[in-house]
Amino acid sequence: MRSLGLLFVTAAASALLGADAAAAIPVPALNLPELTTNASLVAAGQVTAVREDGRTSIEARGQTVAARRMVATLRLFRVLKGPSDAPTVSFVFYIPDVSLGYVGVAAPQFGLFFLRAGPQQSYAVLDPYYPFIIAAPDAPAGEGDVLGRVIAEVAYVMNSPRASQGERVRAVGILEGVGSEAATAALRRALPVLDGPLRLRAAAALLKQGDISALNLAEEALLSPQPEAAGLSGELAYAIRDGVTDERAVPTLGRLLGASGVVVRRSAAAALRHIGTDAVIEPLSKALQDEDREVRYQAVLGLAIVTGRSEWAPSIDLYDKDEQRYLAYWREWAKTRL
Amino acid sequence: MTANGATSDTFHLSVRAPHRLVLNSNFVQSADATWGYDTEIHYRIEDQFTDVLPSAVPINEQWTSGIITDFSGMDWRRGAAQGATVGASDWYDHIQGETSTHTPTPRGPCSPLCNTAVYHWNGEWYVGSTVIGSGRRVQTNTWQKFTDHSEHTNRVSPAP
Repeated sequence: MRSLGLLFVTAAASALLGADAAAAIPVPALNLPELTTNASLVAAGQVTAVREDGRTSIEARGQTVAARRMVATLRLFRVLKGPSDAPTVSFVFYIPDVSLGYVGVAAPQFGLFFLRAGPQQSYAVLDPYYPFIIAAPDAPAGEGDVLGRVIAEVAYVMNSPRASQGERVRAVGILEGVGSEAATAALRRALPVLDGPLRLRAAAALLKQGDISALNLAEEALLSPQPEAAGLSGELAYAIRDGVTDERAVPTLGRLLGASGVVVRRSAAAALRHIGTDAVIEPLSKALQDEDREVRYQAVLGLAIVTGRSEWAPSIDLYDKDEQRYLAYWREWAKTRL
Repeated sequence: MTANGATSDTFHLSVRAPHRLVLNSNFVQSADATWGYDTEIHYRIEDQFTDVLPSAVPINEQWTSGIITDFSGMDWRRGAAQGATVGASDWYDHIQGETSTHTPTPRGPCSPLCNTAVYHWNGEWYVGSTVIGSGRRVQTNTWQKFTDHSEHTNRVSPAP
């Protein structure tokens, strides 16, 4: 598989050019709708040149930091928002002397850039952590509103067999984070045509949004681990745990309570708890016997929620201090109920 | 609660709060032209009922020790503690190596990962603020830097 040669843009994969001290930095979340709304210019393009334009200081995270002022020239391929009459634009970005996790920009990077207007028809990077996201030079011009076209650019990379696996995985991650119906629909459309780990990642992204169309696929991967699922069981399990609230998922979740992986069982039990209807009573009652303490906790909490007995719905700390009290109560309750 | 002489039934209210960090399985190790390597250590943030927090949340890290040398003669540097607003279901600590003029010379991730320790330090994580040391303390750990990657070791979450 040939890479498109695009810059695969993440804070982690990008070098911070010339900073003076490495750090351990929690990276701010990408907020694509906000970036799209706040940008004066959203454009797919290629950086053709970068030059240093002197030294300055910038305010960042409450600190004043010395930095180099850089100017990049961007050749425009497609303009999604903003003026589109010029073949190129210039924009400013900064390289701080201490590492702040900023993403560097260098030629010949290609991406979807988010810029804000500056003085005299110049532009500056809107968000130094995400000056641009992944895009492909050959993507078609999209239709609809700006965010929809941004999503289409990312979806094109996800679906492109010419993109590298890493690029396509990152595209799935970006779409997952958008949380809009358009992004979810793009993932849903892609699911049947993707394969291998990429398909499982797309499944996890959908499940995280509460879309259970990929639940059977996840179940198959979690109960009969295949080589392509290596390293993805946690992602799938957490997606189920955080996203699934649909009662139709109860039979599948009940089967996942029999998985060998403890994270899978915990997630299945937590999802049953989130569903919170009478349909979860039977599987959660069985989960009271699980060998793992946290699975048992999820069962206790879930049964308390279903029955409305909030005094028997402990926090995890309270539960850990007196597990037998809660277990005895709910096991006795289950005996009379089932 | 009593109103007009009538006492209501008892209701139990729980205020959900950040409680613990849970490691996600997706560690990422990659080579970096400037710093030798980039390490991403991914976490989720859960409340006291083990549910992931529902939205983006401010967090910060605080160092609680100076750096402790593991590699004799090392001259790697440590950046300042930082805060940021992150996604609660999957965020990461981004740790870089060092520039190539320093000792020992950093390198891209070995396969399997190398175990040549360079230095380490202790610290903790807070949720609820980007101001260093403010918010709910949810984890203590050691930042351990190796020549080809970094790790969080001695993790304790929820923080004692």
